Amino acid sequence: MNQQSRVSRAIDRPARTALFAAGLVVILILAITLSLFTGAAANESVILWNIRAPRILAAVIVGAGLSVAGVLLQGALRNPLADPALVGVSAGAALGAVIGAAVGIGYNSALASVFAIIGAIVAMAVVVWIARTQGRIEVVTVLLGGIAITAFASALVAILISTSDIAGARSVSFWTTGSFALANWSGVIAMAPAVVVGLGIALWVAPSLNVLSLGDNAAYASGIEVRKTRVWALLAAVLLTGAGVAVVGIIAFVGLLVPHAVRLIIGPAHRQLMLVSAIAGALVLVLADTVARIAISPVELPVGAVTAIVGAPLFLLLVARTRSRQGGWA
Amino acid sequence: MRIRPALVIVALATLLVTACSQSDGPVADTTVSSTQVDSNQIETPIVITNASVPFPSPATEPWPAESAQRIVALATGSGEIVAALGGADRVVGRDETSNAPDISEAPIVTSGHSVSAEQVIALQPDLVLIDAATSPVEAIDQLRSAGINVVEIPEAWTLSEVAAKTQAIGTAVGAPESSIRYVQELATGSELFLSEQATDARVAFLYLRGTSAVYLLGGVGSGADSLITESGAVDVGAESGLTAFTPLTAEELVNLNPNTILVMTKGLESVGGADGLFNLPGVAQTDAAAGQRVVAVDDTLLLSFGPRTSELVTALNSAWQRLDQ
Repeated sequence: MNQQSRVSRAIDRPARTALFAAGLVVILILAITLSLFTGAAANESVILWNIRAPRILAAVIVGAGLSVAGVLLQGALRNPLADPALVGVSAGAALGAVIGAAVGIGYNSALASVFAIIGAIVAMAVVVWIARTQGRIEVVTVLLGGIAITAFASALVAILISTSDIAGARSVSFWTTGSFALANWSGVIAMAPAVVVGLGIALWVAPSLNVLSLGDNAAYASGIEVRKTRVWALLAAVLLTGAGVAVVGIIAFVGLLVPHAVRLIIGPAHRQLMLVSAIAGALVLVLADTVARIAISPVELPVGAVTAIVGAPLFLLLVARTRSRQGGWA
Repeated sequence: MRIRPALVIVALATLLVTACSQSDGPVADTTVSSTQVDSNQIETPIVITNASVPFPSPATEPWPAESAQRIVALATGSGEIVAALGGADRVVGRDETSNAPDISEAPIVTSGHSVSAEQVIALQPDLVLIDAATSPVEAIDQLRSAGINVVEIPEAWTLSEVAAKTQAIGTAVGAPESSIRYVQELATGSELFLSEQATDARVAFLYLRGTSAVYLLGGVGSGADSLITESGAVDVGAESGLTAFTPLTAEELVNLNPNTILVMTKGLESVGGADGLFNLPGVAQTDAAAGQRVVAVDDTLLLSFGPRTSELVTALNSAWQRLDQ
């Protein structure tokens, strides 16, 4: 233990973060290359460019978006268990996209992303409104509100899909377990702007989140506008989540677990945490989608099932750890 | 001043996303176009509607007195066979796979694919026809314990199995033997015609509303494989040994490289018509997309395997012929 801490002190934190980030980037590039050249069809340019490339790029964008959204939600709500799918934002986005389809807006379009983002905003607003108490946002109520919103939005998605022919190739299970199978270039282009804007806001709001982590009162005392910080952070989380959900459905656990794993290694400073989580999240989803695509080829697995199989046990560990730290919950 | 976070989020996001949507508007609708599925259109897609494969005129011989009086037809397409046997007026309930005009008055007693025992019992049937696909088991048990005669009919997923299915239904309802033979002959009528109509069609049947994968490919035993084969074409899924309704990756579809896609009409509508279909990852890279070759068959007609199946096979064959030209 002593040995270890001396070693870690020998390399100072910024250098360690940079080293770790660089390593992740290299692994991500390797994973992308591997994924690009692995599959059922021959490595012809039309396959690489029209089928695999947009899929992989979608995995990169969604993975980065969900992970940074997780950092934002965990920071802004001061809730270690926050994740876009767990707080109801993802289900709200799915409902928005399906409502868009019901009024004639094609999937993988910019307008579909707009509908999804609006759905995500409504879900986020309801959850925050339910959980706020005297300027604070209750940890457990956020999660319970998220469960309720997810159940409600998913029910509406199921009803809309069962009662009409708007489904396209997107069934109820597409929305609940997610898939990159339908991600094409227009889907990538439709989701990219919101994720870029969301990432920009996230990095800008990051220093305030550092202060916010000391507690609302301490943040007030340091001159941080708590409410404004929170609103911007949640808005960024919604932008990072919503547009991706419109194209690939709900993928759970990435936004929850990637930030925690990264935090263990590089510490809690938000800007670094966001940047490294974005890379790590992209890596996780590129790998998960590659598994979904080739594990039992020619059968396509839902990518959300792949992430949940790995993510759910880790989530339980995280719950146990958080619980013991906070001395148990009522 | 106290600002409500929720309101601020809504206002800001609306502003932002509006800006986004304006900047990249033109990419919006590669899959949205609402292509009308219409048989008057040029050859893409070729549509086989319910009306284009008419029901044969029913057998006329009167049924014996001891035959079933009130029939609920839940086995796939069984109501249509009962109607062809001359018993349309005895069908008091059905599921959505039986659509003969003579029985359209009979209420549908299933929701989704689930039988409502209560609705069936309310019709006071003396015979309920089911098959292996009828579900749930609990509802069927309830019918039996209510004292209703429930008869399981063998499923037919090929043209040649329609004869056995017809025989089983005819026996269960108590129709005259001559009527049963009449319907059996209807079902096998096209075989002679087909042997002379060769086609180059290599067909993939895609069920477009399925799991999280894009494509459920109708392989061996899906029913579509026998229709495709018996109409003289090659089923690419069955050819490579894929089982029925395999959730296929886009890339495997490229490998199979069908030159024709067979779909159900509503499935095609749900992806935005032929344009939408040929833009889907995987489909876009096949010969079928290059030649814009797609045949859409009415959802209730395609896999019902009954008195019209023989005519359907003929219609499919002429669809392949039109595409070959």
